[in-house]
Amino acid sequence: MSDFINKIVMIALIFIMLVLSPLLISYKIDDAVAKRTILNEVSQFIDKVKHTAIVTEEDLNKLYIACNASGLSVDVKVKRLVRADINKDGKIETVHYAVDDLDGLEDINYGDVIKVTVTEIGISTSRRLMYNILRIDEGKFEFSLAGTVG
Amino acid sequence: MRVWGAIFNIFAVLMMLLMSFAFLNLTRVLDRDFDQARLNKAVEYSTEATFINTLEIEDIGLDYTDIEAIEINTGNSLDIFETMMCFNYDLSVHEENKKLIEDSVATMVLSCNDGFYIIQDIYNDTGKGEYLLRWSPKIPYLYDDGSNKYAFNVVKQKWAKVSGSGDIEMPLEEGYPPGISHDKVLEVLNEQITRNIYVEIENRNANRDIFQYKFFLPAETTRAGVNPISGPGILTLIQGARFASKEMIGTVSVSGYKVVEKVNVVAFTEKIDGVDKKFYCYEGQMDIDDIDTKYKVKNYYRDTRTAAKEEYSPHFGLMTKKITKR
Repeated sequence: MSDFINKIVMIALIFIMLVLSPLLISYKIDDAVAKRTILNEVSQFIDKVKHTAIVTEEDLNKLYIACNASGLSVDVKVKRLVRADINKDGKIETVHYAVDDLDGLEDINYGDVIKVTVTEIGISTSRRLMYNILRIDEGKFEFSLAGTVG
Repeated sequence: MRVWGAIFNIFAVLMMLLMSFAFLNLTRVLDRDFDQARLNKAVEYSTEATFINTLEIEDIGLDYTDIEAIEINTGNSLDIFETMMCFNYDLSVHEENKKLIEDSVATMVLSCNDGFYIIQDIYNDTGKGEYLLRWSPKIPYLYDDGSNKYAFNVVKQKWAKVSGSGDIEMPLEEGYPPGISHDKVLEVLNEQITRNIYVEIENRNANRDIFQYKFFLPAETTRAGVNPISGPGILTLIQGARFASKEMIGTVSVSGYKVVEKVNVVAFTEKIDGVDKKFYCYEGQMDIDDIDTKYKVKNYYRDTRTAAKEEYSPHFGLMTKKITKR
């Protein structure tokens, strides 16, 4: 009986060590590289907009393609935030108006903020399992970066 | 044989545990690496936004043309830094969130031509009785040689001296006092700022969080690329950011900016075959004798893109020349 249990344990261990472990390590490294690639693409885009103060349709397309070419399926939102002060019952408050249509993005004024939000879409079942059961995944990948044009 | 099988299994289980531990550590390192890179970017962008807001230019002609005319005003710069950090981390711009970001600001220094501002922890006993971050009054760059005290303006290279007997000397011409070089002044001011950063971080540690001070300002650019403070600039140190990751990021994020002279784009016309052709090049590329004779300057632009939009073409003959303004 113990011989049989030994064999079963051995097979399970072989499966874990030779199949599951390399897969997990490879997945985790690919995931890390993809995240860093997206971060670099987004920061490059912000740096460009900071310098040129203009966002064209071509720039947006390039950003979407570059982010999605990293290996993750992501949605990218680009917003321009215009700083303004309003009088609210005699108290002056600073607010930021968000503009995300292409016309509003084409000519950005110096001092405006450009914000990029990246959200992962279409997470695979295996990743969902890894997040819910093994807890070695961070779940939906989402982050923002914002820079001031000037 | 059966015993050997069991021994191998136990050995394999131990190996697997070791590998699992290594794997979990790897995932933590990879996640932390991303969070750290993102924090660095966020601090960089927020510091830049803060610095843009503090600059005041006395010269109403072209912006950034006269480096001596730049003044720094702290104003609401801390608020702008916190707002930008909120944008970078998708936090609502609210006092509570701003406070969370404030808690991770180890120090911030705004250096000017003749002094600097530093972030200080101030106890506010009028409201809830809490510690708040506020800019200090301007601290002048001072040097004490034992018998005299000197205050410097590092950009205009001017100085004032208070001797031991209380006499004040303030020459109008540029240059440093005899025996004191520009390098010595840079060494003194960087040492003074480093000392103040150290004192303020110690104060913050006594009041609230623990910041580990591991930063120094060199007198000249180091091999690792750390620049000294040598004029208008900003320096931000963030440590212990709780909002940036699942776990607190303990490492220091440093970001700094300084004012450099901007090279504008000059739009001009040149007569070729009797026709005025529109061209552009950078400031400092034209021969001074050719201005208003060969080339008629029409306008200045911030970048080549705007010049191209106004239908000016690059003057390849001039564009390859060295920019002499810097």
